[in-house]
Amino acid sequence: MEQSLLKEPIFEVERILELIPQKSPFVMVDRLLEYTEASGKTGFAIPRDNILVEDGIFSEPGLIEHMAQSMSLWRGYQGFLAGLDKPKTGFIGSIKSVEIFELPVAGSTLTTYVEILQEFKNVTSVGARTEDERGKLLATSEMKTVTVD
Amino acid sequence: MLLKDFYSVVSSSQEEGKYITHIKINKDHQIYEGHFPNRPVTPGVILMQLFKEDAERRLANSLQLKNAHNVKFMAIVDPKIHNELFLEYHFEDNNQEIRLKGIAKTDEGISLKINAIYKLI
Repeated sequence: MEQSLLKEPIFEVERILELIPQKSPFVMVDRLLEYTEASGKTGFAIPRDNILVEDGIFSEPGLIEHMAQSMSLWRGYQGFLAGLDKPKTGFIGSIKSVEIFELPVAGSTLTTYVEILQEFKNVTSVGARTEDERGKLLATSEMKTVTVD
Repeated sequence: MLLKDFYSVVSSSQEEGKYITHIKINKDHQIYEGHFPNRPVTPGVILMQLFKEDAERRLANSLQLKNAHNVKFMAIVDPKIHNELFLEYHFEDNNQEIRLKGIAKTDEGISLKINAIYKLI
C-alpha cells in the first residue's frame, strides 16, 4: 500500500459524519484509519443498539452497508482533499459479488480495507474486505457505487 | 424481521415454482432520516433483505446470506413515490442451502435484480 495521505486516523464521529452522506440511524462506519489515492482502511465499532443488529448479531445488510459506507468515507475524504464542503450523495449501483463468511457480534469492531478498482464519471468500482478484531476475514465484496449531486 | 415496522406483506402467492409477494413499505420509517436527509432512498441492502425474509417465511426456516452476485439496482426506490413493491423469485433448495433468483418491481418497472445463496440455519 502507498503511504497514507492521512496524517492521523479520524475517530471523531462528528468529523466522520461530515465526510459521508448517510446520517443516524443509518451510519455503519465510524473511523478512517488510512487513505491513499486508491485505497482506504476504515473501521466500525458496532453499537449494540444499531438498527441493523438483530439478536446481538450485526446482520448481512449491516455488513454489506458497512463495506459500501467504507467506500463512501474514502470518497468523502477524497472530496475533502479536493475542497468540497460536503459529501455527495452516493449509493450502491450494483454488487458484482459479496461473500459472507461469518457475521460479527454487536459490540465488536470491524476493520475494512477498500481498494478503488476503477473510477469513471460518477461510477466507482471498489473491492472491500472486512476483518474482525483478530484479523479473521468476515466478508469480501466487489461493488459499484454511484454518486449524484 | 430485521427492521421493526419497516414493511408489511399485503399478499403472497405461488404458482409453478414462482413466488410473488406484494409488500408495502412504511415511508415514514426512521431509516429514511439517515438514508438520506431530505432525500429518502430505500437502501439497496434493505431491499436485498426483503428476499431473505420472504424466503424464510415460505420455508419456515432461518437463513443466512452466504453470497450474492450480479445484484443490480436498476431504479431508486423513493418511498414517497413507490411504497408498494412486488418481489418475484424462485429458488432451489438442496436441504443445506437455497439458491434464489429474483426481481423487485414497482408499478413503474424493475428496481432490483438479485442472485443469492443462503444457508439454512
